[in-house]
Amino acid sequence: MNGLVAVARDWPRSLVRGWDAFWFTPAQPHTLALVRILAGAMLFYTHLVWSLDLLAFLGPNSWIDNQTARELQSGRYTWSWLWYIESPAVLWTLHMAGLVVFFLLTVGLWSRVMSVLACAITLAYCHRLHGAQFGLDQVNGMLAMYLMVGSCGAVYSVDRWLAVRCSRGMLLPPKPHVRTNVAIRLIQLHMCIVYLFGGISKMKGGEMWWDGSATWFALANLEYQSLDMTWLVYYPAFLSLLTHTTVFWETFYCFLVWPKFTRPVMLFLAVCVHGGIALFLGMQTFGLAMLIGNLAFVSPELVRALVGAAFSFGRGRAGEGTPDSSQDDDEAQPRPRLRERESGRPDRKKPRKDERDLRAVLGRLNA
Amino acid sequence: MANVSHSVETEYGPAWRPWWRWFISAGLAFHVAAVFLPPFAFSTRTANGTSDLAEWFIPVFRPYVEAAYLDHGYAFFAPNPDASHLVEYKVVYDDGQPAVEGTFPDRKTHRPRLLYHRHFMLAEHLNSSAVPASIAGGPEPEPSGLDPLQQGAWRQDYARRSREREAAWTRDRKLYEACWDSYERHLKHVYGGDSASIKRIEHRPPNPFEVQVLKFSLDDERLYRRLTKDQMGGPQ
Repeated sequence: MNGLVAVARDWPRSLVRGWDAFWFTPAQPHTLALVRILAGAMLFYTHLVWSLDLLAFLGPNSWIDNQTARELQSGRYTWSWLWYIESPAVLWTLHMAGLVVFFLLTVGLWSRVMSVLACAITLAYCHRLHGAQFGLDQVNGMLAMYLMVGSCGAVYSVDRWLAVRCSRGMLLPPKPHVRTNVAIRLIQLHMCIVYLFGGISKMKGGEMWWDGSATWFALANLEYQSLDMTWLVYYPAFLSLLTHTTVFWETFYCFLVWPKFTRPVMLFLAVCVHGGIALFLGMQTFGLAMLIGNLAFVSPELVRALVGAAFSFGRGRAGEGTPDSSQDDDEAQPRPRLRERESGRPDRKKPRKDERDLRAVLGRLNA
Repeated sequence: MANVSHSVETEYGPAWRPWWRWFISAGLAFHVAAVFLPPFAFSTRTANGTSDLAEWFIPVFRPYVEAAYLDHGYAFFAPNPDASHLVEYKVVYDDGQPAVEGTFPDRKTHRPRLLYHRHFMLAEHLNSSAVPASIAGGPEPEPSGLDPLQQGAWRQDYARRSREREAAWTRDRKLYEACWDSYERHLKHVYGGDSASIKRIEHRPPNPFEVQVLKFSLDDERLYRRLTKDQMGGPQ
């Protein structure tokens, strides 16, 4: 009986501990920073493409004009400043400003402010452009929202590079932060929900997903097709395998992506499925956007290792004597000053007052 | 993720205070529920209606869900990969100039691929918002064997459902016609014509038998069906 009472007492506490650990453990920013770069680039490209025919989609005589767009959204809790802009000059000005915001978010300058602006602009376009949207916009909206939450500009950013420069190489490595973990967890859960209901909706009424023919009918759709894969009609068992794998992978993703033994398998299948959508069904942007979302399941340590390896490879290819950039090195050590590097001898010139103060602070922190 | 213990105290100092964690936790639970509910409600939709549980919660979350652009079903290529839809247009000039005809999406003129896909989505949107010219189905027969009190209750409920059905049809038809007219106005503006007309085209993918045995190509004329404004597509 005492054991039962102990279990009943401990279970809620372990639930709370588990919740706290899941959400409120500080996390390194590297994964989120990489998501920022890729999602920012996707947002930039998505909105750059609107520029090719901006007035046809947003102008006063667009496919779905402002009045029709407002009617489509009437009674809903949506709003967009684009509903009220009829002047092409104003439209173009705001559009270019939006592109600048997405660019700055990508490179990580004023990241905190740009992430909020990027989210607001993304939502404004989504609410205005009802009728011309698809899965890409849903994922863009999700990523833009969650980038606001975490420290997405803490590394791999102009913000970080400027901070390192201003500190003359004496900046501490970026700190893990709870907000970063919350942002990553939100992306992870959102992806799980997307895949779960993607799988359920296929299983619910989809005879083609059960009889294995769904992949064929997707590949044989000329409007989607980007690479002709209709020769697969002579391999019906393989088409069935692709179909069944897709629907089971989607449905069970939310369970199997968490354990460390099955996570690499689920992420590999994500690359296969979304890579296939990008290559064969002409939705390169949607496929890539979903892979960016999947990146949330890659640990910051692995991201750091991969980015570090890529930079080392790049420096090696560039040849000897390339200035050593420490902005990506999270164990940033104080850099020897120019005279020391050139002569190899310690610089005996008296350090400036600000450098003495910084060294004193570093000394206390390391004590 | 970062390799840390279950304790929220880390080597980097104390994490968020408990009261702040509880407040944020409530917000997180609300947001995750807001992400979950729309596809849940969409998935529970059947010919008999939607889940009562979903309908009970949705109004609470609706303002946030709609404002944050979270109202999606995520039913990609579901329930089945379907026929795709195009729009055929014709712009006429009163002064006798030859009419301009075309179809969108058009792979040749709409580049890059994302721009093509945007036009494709416009065509799909027009089709998915299509509503017949009149409310489908006739009057519902009254169940037999009801006593006068039950008959009264049934008739009252039937009248309410009829009113709701008519209001929904009126609203949807109005939006469909608004989109249709907007597309025609845009084409008139782009080509400088005096009038423009559009038609929906349904293009179904061939089945394996048609490709393997009958040697259909993907753009075989027999796979296309032209639909008028009031015609519904789908399996024939």
